[in-house]
Amino acid sequence: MEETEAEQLVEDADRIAAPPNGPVNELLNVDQEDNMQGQMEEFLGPQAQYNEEEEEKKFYRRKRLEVIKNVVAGSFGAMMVYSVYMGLLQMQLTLHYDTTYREVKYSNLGLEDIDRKMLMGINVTPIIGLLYTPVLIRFLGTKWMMFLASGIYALFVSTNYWERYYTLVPSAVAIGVAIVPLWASLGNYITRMAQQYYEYVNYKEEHVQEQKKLPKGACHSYIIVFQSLFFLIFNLSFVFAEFPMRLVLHGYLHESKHVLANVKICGAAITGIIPDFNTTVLVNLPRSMLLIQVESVLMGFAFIAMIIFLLLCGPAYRPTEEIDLRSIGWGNIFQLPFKHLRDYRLRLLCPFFIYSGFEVLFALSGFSLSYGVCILGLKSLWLLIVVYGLSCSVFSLLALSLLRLPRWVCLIGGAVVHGVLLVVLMALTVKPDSPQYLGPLLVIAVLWGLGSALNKTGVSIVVGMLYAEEKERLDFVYTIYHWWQAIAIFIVYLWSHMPMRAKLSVLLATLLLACYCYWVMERRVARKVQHRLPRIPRPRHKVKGYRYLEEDNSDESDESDEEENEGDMTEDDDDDDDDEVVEEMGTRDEEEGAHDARPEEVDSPRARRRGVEGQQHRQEEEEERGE
Amino acid sequence: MASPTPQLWLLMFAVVGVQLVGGYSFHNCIAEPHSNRKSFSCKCRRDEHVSAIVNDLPRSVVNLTIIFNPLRRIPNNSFVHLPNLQNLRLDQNQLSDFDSLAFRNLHQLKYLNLSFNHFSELRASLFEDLHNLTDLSLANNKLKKFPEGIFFGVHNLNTLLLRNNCLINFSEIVKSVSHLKKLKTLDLCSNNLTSLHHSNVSLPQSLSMLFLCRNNLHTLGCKLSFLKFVNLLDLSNNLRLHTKAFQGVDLSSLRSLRLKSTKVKIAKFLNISNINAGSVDFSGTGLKTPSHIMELCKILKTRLKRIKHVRLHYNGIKNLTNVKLSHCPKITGFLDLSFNGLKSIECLHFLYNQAGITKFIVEHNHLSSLPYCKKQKMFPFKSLDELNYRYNRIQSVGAWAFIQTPNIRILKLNINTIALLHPKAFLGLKQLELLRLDNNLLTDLYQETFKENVNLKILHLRNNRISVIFKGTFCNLKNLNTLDLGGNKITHFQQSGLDGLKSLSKLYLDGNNLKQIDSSFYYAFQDTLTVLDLASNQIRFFKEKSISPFAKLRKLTDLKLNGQRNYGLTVLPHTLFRGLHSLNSLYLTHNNIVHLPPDAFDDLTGLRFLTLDNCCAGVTQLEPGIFKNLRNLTTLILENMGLQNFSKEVFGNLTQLRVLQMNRNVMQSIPVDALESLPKLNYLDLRNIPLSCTCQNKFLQNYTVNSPNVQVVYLYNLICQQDKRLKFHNFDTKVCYIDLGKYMFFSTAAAVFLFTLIPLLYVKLYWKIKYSYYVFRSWFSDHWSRLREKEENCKYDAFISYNFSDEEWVMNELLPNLEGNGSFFKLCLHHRDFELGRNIVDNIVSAVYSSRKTICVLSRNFLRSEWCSLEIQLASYRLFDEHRDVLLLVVLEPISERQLSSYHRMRKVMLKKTYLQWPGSDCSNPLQAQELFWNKLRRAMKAGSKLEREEDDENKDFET
Repeated sequence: MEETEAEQLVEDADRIAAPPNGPVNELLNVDQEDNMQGQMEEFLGPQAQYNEEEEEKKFYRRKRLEVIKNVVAGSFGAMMVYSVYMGLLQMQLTLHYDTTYREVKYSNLGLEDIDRKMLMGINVTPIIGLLYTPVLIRFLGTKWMMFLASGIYALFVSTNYWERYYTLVPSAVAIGVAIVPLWASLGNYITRMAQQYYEYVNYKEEHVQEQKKLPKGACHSYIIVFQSLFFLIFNLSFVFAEFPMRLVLHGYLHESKHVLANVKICGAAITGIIPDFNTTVLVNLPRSMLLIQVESVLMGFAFIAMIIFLLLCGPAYRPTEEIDLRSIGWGNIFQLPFKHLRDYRLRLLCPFFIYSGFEVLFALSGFSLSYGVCILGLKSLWLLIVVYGLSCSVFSLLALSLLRLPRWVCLIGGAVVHGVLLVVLMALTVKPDSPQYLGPLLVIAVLWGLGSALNKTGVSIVVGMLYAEEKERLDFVYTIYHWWQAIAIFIVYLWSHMPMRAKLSVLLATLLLACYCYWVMERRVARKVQHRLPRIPRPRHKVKGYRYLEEDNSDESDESDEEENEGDMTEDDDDDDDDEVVEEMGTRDEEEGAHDARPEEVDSPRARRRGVEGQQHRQEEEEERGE
Repeated sequence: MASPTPQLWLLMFAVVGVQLVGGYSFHNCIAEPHSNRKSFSCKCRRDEHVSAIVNDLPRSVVNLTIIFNPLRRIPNNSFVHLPNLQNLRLDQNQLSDFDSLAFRNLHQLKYLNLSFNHFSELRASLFEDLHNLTDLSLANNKLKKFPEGIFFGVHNLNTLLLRNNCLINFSEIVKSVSHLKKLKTLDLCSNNLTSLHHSNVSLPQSLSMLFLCRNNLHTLGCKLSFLKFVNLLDLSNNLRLHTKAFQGVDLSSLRSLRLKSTKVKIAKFLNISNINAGSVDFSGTGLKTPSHIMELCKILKTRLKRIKHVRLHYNGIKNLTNVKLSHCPKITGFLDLSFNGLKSIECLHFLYNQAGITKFIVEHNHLSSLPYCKKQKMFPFKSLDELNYRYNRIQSVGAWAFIQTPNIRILKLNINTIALLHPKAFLGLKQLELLRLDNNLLTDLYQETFKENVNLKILHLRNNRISVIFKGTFCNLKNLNTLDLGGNKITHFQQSGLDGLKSLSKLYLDGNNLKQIDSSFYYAFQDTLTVLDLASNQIRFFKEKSISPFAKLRKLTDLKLNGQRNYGLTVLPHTLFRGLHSLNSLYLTHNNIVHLPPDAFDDLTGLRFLTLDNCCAGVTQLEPGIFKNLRNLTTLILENMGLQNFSKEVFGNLTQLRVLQMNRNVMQSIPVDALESLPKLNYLDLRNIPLSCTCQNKFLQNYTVNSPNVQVVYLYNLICQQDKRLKFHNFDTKVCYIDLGKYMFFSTAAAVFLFTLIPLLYVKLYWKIKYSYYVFRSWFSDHWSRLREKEENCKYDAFISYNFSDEEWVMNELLPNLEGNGSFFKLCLHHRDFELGRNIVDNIVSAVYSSRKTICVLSRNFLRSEWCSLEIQLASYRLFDEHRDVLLLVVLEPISERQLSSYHRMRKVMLKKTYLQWPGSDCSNPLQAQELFWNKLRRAMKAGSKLEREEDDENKDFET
């Protein structure tokens, strides 16, 4: 304990000592990575009219605008990626569903089988997302993770030009790999932007200047606004995803009389997606040139999304922060998401995470196919989903009410809407091809969209608020959230052959459980029950410089390169296993007594292990410091 | 007014043009393979409209056969686009009506067959345009009458067949045909005519044959001279026709009159009619008993001296024992007693005195034997040329049975039950040329049997029970050219069994029980044999043997080996067809051949026709090169062989192939380039092949539909495998731009990949890349300057950077070796050459920059020293600054890699093995090693700024 404190002191001293005092320096510090030009101008400009206060204010206004730009750009990027992805997937699945199309174009290729494998790749791979997501995010950085994921989605679009087993399935698996990291980094990014915005608003505060932890609840309102804004934009992807279907495929689709010729019943009574759905849905086959054109347009948008991520999204962390983030040792980064599951707040939110995965997939597959397509025919599918997407998007703004209301309102509100709808859907059994049900179904779609919007924004906001002050935990938390969601999506993928009522019951049960757990969580938080949070180890930085012959540090990595570090700090011998042993130090644990004794205990193993285990850690790569 | 016309012309050209460039396949017709688009047949189609059948036919059609179709009506102008049509068959359809202009524009039509349809009436102007029609058949319809002017336009009509209709009114018929000046034949058999009553028109003079059989005529009722010009008049089977009807009718020009099954009393008829008695056919006129015949003979004798032919069919004559034809006039032609009940002909006894008879026919009687005839008093029929005993029940033929007819050339004993053929039966028949013994029960042939028939040319022994050909059976048949032994039970030939057949050219051995092909029997006729039929025997090969039994049959043009019974050929020896260079056609169907060796057909260079229909067991793999020498092949039949693929390698050489039948195989797709390699192909049968309607066959569809020279049989009826409702010729190929998609995939995938990776790499590896870039530039500029031989001006050759603890080595070893000892390098040593009073850093900088090289003497102490590190740093900055690498590393003592810090190892990675190791005292030959070390160092210093790679073998010794 003493030692850590001592180190802390040294570090703080460093940090303060390195830049000279005052806001200007903070400004300099911030400015370094962004616009050298501006700095030069400022430096060289006439000093006479230089109004420090004024300039500072201007500067931070610009910074705030930049943050907003980042949020909007990120949202638009994600929206585009998902519009393209879902639109393409829907179009391709519809085409591949048609027997004639399959036979003529691919004869014995077994396209259906490939589609099945593709969906499996997309839905099953995310299960292992928890293992690598934080490592990936911290290795690449949040922004670059989003960029890489958008690249993978673009690659998927590209593989759809040439549908083969060995193109589609690998790209689907790649998408499965990218889903959890993408969403975790998106959530992280938006929340982080809220923190930054707060910092730029309160740049004069001492804790901001000293880059200390933010005060509790300080940036909640920004989180609410930014998350709402994100979902407002993102949910439009459902609308745009229907464009290929509506504009291109619509003319080729059979009327509902044909596609529903053998379907006997729709809605709650059916088993599977749509039993006895006609195997031919296309009146005539679209020219492949047309398909290539559509895919090219989608490809173009995917590229635009990539460019948006690349150029318009600023980095979420400063380079020094990023280095700190990944300097805690890769072993730690790997373990920390699991350790975070010990926090009762996250644990109790898990049912909600799962439910939020369930409901969106149910809206897109269960409801829109087993109710929508079955009752109205394939030609109305786009309408339902567009309405759903619009309502999702618009009602995301309802989350802004949390600025005034308590945070449970959003989640519970969405849950109530969904609960009622689930009961209604459980009772709704209709004959196929009944266009008179268009109205009711649209209403259900709108209401479900309302629930979805409240649910999605609600969960994101709650998670963001719970961890609002901790910028170095955000990726773990969001990883857990989206991993559970991925699990839920996997379950939905598995249950596609179950009876509709069973699915609805599972949904309802999960919803009720989620609400209960959430209530318990809120109660505990209100009672200020301590939660267990794993200690984030202090970053270790490598010292490099003039000294060419290192005395005894034999566990150096091979891949470091030269680096001139003025600091000439004492070598930091913290090993990862130390942190393993000294865990949860930072948290205010109930069993403080037990922990008091531990530092002494750990001292000796540390000394003992240094020689033995040092070798093992040679592989752990140390990144260079990106300056 | 003028403007629309050119447009119309344009339109017509466009239509014709489309027709021309369009493919050469027809919806419902097949062009005969070798007819050059002149003959078409459209059989058994399902279309009910003739337009669907004929609309896509080209103008060149000359012969057109449309039969067995459910056509009901032929609308106007149906054939207007086929002006060259000469022969048109429309029989066996269900036609009941023609529109009046149905045959418009068929000015060239010569032959029109409308029989076996359901017409009950015809329109008057139907045949208006058929100016050249010579043959018209309306037989087997339901015509009751037809309009008067119907044949008005058909001036050239030669033959008119109206058999089997329901015509009643003869006078109408006469009226409508009376103007046909060229009409020769009029067939009105099997109608309902009751009399030949007619108004004042007469038959055309040209009419020579008038068939009125099977009507209900009871009287002729015609004018006396009505039949004046008729040559042949058939009145048979008019059951009610009386003798009286002929009273006064002029029949003088008749050459043949058939009166079978009428009520005509022949004796009375001859009395009352002016007919030439020799031209009456006496068949079926009730001449049952010998007395009737004698009576007839008497009457004939009164009128004629000699009579040419006497035909006595269907008279129920039971025996001729008491008949003496010597009372009759002399018969100079044939005597035909077929279809009677004769049990015996008694050695032609009854023909006594009729020596002039040339041909004697007794078919369809009850003859049971041809006995021994020598002992009786012989009346030789020297002029008798042909004896015909077909369709009797002859069981035995005695010795000398034909002794009284020594000069016959033709003897037909086929279709009897001859089991006992006396070995001497044919003795004396020296003139015999054709002997038919087929379809009997013969079991053995003896050496004697054909001993004297030396002139025999054709011998039919098909369908008997012969099982062995004995030695010498055919030894005297030197002139035999056709020997038909098919359908017997021959299992083997005795040695030299086929000897003596010196001029045999056609040998039929099909349907026997031969088990192998024994080439030794063929030597007698191996130079003359042209046809060899070995079909349906029991020839079977079990394993691949190299036998070539046909090697000497140089003239063989036809070889049939099809359908070997029970198991087929099974194995086809690859040498089986060796030597058959002149073979024209080869039949190998139905043989269960397991494997077709790729060189089996190599010698068949003259082959034109090859059928492998159903030849093989299961799925056949045709190996590449199997048809490589068949350059003359024009017809290839590959039906039902289970072919799975069709490739250019297999079919590439068939340059003359015109007809290719591949129906009932199992390939799903056919590569178009293989078809395009058959330049003469014009008939391609692809029926019943499970062609898949997939993008794979996109080009095939295009080829079959658009190829101007290849007719694909019933192309428009080929269905898709996966969906029977779809047709192959128009399945949707719009989705088949696979290649473009592929290129788009590769390009976009690469673009996305690079676009993702480059920014990431840029961010993550910026410094590494930049450093590599500088190293590269130094290397490059180094080479560049060396190329330009630019000498640099430096104060020193090398700056020696070392730690003071290594000073001893520097002074004792390095300095003497580099500055003295024959080499004249100018070195910069810090203790010697540094300027006094100057900042030490400045000194170092100027030393580094004013020396061509910086030699770092690496030791542990050196690496520990701050100043020395600075010197390395500064030396390496020249890399960035001037893009020159000036650093030379000399390692004094072994330093383990682990001890080197990251920077140094970085250098090491970048400048691999560019350091020199000072040979320590522990190496084998320190003096020599040191010598080498100094040489290397000098070389490195001289070599401009070049990075020396010290990897020589010797040097390895010195590295730890």
